[in-house]
Amino acid sequence: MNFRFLRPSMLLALALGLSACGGDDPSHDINLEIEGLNYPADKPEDALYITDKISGTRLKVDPHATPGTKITTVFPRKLSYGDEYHIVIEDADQPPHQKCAGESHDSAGRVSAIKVTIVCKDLTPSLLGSITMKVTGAAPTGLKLINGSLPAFTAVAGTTGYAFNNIPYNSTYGLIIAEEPSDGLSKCKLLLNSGTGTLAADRKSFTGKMGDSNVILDVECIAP
Amino acid sequence: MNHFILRSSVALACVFGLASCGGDDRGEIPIQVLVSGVNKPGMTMQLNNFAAQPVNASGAQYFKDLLPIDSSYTITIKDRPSNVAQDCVLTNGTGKISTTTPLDITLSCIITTYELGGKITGLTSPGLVLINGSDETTITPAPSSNADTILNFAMSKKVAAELPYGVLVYKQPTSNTCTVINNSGNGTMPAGAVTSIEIKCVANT
Repeated sequence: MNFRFLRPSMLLALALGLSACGGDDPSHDINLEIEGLNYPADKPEDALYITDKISGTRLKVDPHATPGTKITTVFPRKLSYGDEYHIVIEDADQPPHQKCAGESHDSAGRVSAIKVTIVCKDLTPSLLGSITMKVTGAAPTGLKLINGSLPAFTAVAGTTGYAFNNIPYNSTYGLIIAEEPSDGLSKCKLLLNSGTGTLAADRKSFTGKMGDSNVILDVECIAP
Repeated sequence: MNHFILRSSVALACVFGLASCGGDDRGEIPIQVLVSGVNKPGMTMQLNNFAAQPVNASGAQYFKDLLPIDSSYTITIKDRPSNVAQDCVLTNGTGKISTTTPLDITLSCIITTYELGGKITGLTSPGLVLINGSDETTITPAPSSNADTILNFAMSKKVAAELPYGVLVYKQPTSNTCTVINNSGNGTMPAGAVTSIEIKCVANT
């Protein structure tokens, strides 16, 4: 062993004959707190995994029986003094219907106890779509779309699309064409582009429940 | 606004004991009130004996008049915004200005909300779910209901005036088909309950 490359503090510890020098005595835990984890995964590979990028070690975390209850656990890699760790959640390791955030990159021994907090929140996709005027020269001015009691969307001359953002996973939406464009000629209908939901027979309203991805519902206005 | 920022930076300088503060008693500390639930005028706030000033919006609001360090302050709130039914709640409305403790003054108002509902005729089976956006409300008829029964309903969540509403059938009951009729499901909330939504249910054949 080349003593020149040992960390100075370790050298001092060795010189003083201290037993917990590290290397042979991994005694530092990475304590984890996971908040707000709500949904169990149907398949094991879809669960939340927490990774240490330095060692490649991964920990699977399942939600508590009571959803959202804070989980306290210890990462399965013990560190010696000075060992580097880098706790992350890789993009492919997010749990169902949520995004969890929390990262820590440090070395053991700098603080007295290592604690990494991970916070999980439900996804909040959007309900959005294009607005297309098929009547030559007509503008969508005055077209009014509503989704419950969120602020209404009202189109102006150059409008080409609309969006209702931040709709939480598992909450319902109900889009209604509340007012037609004010040109007096154009009549608009809804057209489902991607996502699921129920389009009314007259195509003036659409209901559904938000999943993990944006729902694209386009508006097309013609002279009937 | 520039004048205000200049005075605030002088205030900070004084807090750190810099020499150019002078010895006069002119106030230099801006008093902040963190306001929530305000989107209409009507309320005023007054600091000590200075002139009252209007509170027209939520967020961080500042009194025009500044106070010296170690002075006492008392805030008085008068009236309410036009869409708030009960007095707003002021916390840390009196106190003393120190250099070490943040003031943390908050003023919280609750905007009045109203029932959104109407009448359903002919509902004879369970499972009907109505929605107003993300508000899901399940309607269960009485066991004795028949094709002529009129059921008064209200959505689970009340709505503030001037917001839109759009009530739709999300799930049909087990043996009826229900429809919102006469274009009565959407509109703009007035400053009062809506009882005009009409839903007609017929028995499935």
